[in-house]
Amino acid sequence: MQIIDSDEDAAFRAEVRAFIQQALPQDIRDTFFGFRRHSWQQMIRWHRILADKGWVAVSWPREYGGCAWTPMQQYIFDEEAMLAGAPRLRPFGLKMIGPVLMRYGSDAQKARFLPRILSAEDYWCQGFSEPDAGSDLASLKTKATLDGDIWRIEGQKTWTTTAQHANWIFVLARSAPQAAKPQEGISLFLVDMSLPGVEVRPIITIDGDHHVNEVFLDGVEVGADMLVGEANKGWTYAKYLLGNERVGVANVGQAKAELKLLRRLALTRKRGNQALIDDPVFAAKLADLETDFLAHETTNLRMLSTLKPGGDASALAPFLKLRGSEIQQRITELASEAVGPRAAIWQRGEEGDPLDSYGLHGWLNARAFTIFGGSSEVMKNIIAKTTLGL
Amino acid sequence: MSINLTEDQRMIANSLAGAGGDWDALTELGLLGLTVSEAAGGAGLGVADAIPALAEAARSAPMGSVIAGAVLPGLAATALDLPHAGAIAGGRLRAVVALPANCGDLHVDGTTLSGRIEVLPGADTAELLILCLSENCATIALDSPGLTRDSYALADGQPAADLVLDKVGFVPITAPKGSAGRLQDASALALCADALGAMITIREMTRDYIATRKQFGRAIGSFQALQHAMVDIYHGSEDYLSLVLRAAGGFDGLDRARLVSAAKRCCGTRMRAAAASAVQLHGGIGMTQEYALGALVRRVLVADMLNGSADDHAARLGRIIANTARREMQEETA
Ligand SMILES: Cc1cc2nc3c(=O)[nH]c(=O)nc-3n(C[C@H](O)[C@H](O)[C@H](O)COP(=O)(O)OP(=O)(O)OC[C@H]3O[C@@H](n4cnc5c(N)ncnc54)[C@H](O)[C@@H]3O)c2cc1C
Repeated sequence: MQIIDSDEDAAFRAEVRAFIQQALPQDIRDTFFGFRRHSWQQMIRWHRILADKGWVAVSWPREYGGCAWTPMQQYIFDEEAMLAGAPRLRPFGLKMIGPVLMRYGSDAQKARFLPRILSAEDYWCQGFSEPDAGSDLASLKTKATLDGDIWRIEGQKTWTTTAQHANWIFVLARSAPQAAKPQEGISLFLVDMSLPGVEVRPIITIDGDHHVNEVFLDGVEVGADMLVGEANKGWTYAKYLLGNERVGVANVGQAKAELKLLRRLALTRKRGNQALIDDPVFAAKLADLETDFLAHETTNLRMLSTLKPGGDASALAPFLKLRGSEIQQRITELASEAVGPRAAIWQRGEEGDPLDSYGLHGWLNARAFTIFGGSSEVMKNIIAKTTLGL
Repeated sequence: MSINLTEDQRMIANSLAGAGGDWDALTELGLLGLTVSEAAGGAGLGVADAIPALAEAARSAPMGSVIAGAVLPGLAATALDLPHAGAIAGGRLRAVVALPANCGDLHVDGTTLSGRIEVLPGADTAELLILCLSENCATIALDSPGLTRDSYALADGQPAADLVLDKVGFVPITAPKGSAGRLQDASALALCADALGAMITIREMTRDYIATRKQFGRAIGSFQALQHAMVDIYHGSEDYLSLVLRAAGGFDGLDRARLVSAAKRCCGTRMRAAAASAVQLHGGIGMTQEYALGALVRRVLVADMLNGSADDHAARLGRIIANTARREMQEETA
């Protein structure tokens, strides 16, 4: 297994690097290399810059305004962008509902929604989880009732990431309560969040931030044109969507960039009278982390090399999701160790030293990585069943 | 997933596995000269090609076979440009390679060497010792006066020996720059390949065992605790496979030391843990000498112990990472 770009890939990498070099605004780079987190506005700004270039939907086919890049090209682009300090584009439109609409949506839905995902005029959030339906998503209770050609949706979603910024939400709801199996009675809807009956309430997470929300759907009425595909087939679409979500969580490019930042941090911090990176105890931990990252990156590449453009990655996704989330958690662990006692400061160093609290907020935030998108335990259940046949 | 082999690699793997530890069979099949240049009568295979074949062969190799060690003398003879390469490839000369990890307190006194060389697989019957320290290399005839050997078997059944040298004459060799380090890495990676093959068989056996063994009226593989342990074994060995293949593929590049140390480190951490877990999942039968699992587990352990422990490789990786960080910093400020 040799990790050397083919001639075409090397040329592609050079082109990508040159573009990012001149197009990525300095303040956005500085945020990353200054140990701060990108703001929502910075993310949207970068999204629009990429949209202007035609590089925002890396996996979409050309007919929908995508790049139709090979899995390897997508990987290279992600790696280059992350190493340059770019924000990660959020997956809800580009990687989740967009591909579902392309595969299962009506022509009218494609024409209406896909261009607005590209331009970031629409911003989507994911209305799957409910208070009583997490890992066992198929037990969801939000109801959808057809009344003439209007669907009335009633229920509650929770953990809805960035619902406070979104103007559209895709919602799984139970449309056939009498179906033989819970999976058979579910439909997928596209819901305008400005409609009457939609209410968003913030949930503050253990890192002190506002990432997620509760979304109440109180008799929200949508037309039949907002049903995706066929009624009661929503579970099929959701599984396709979740497969795509999990591959994204491999996050190899981001982990690579964060490891580089961590190395730099460990080089400039001291333990005793030597650089932390030369301290044998810290160095051994870092060596294990880099070893696991190298393995993860290579496993990812081995899997990518077997995938065709637009191919189904759902069998591989659980492996990548499992290790990718674990590695990102461990990066935050070593980052807070590198900062030392000042990592314990709760107040975020917006004005002062950004290293204050660096690592700790990240550590707390990263706990979510092994929970959302299918928890690690659920990933292991899936691998045991599908790959190992147990 | 599995190791993807080329046609040639598969043929080599099958031959290696079939020959096991048998010297004549290894010779006849030309496996001793696998990495010896074609000019000297070998097959001229690079490390990148040999490693996957070694791993595949190790999947079904019998107890006590010398797969990891089989290619090393040829590789050393070629790297150091020794006149013995042809004889080694042809099986007319049995050689062993000693690396710094084998050499405790060797010291030179004028034209002779004294000290101990320890735990050297194949040294029980070898005729020529190729000593390859960082800067200085030498060859020593193993029937030289002043040299005694103490032979034994390793945990995985491989024959090995300690050599005690008391003012033994040697032929000094000027090793081409970098060749000693390269040999050390080749040796470490060959051990990794051996452990990899064993590990893939371990994981298949374990999966099959828990799928069929019944307790409480059902297959034990239906219990979630065991399923998750099995997933960890599988995923860990899949990642290890990635590391070994990557180190093989990058062996001739600038990143060799980092890639090899990562693989060897993982062998001693994740793979040792996976082997332990495989025994646990088998219950009592996994503890018996007669059952095939034990021999495979012992191959993993021996590979971990020889030629740089997991901690040695963590330490080396740590230094490489620190150097990388310093280089990256310089590049940024430049
Ligand atoms: C930060 C964050 C953002 C999120 N964003 C979104 C979003 O945008 N949209 C959305 O729809 N959802 C979102 N989620 C929800 C996420 O998908 C769920 O949290 C997840 O599916 C787990 O469900 P749960 O929280 O109800 O936990 P539970 O399912 O109750 O699980 C609790 C524990 O039990 C374990 N467990 C459950 N079932 C099994 C089993 N069969 N075998 C073994 N162990 C099991 C779990 O692994 C976990 O450790 C988000 C969650 C978080 C934390």
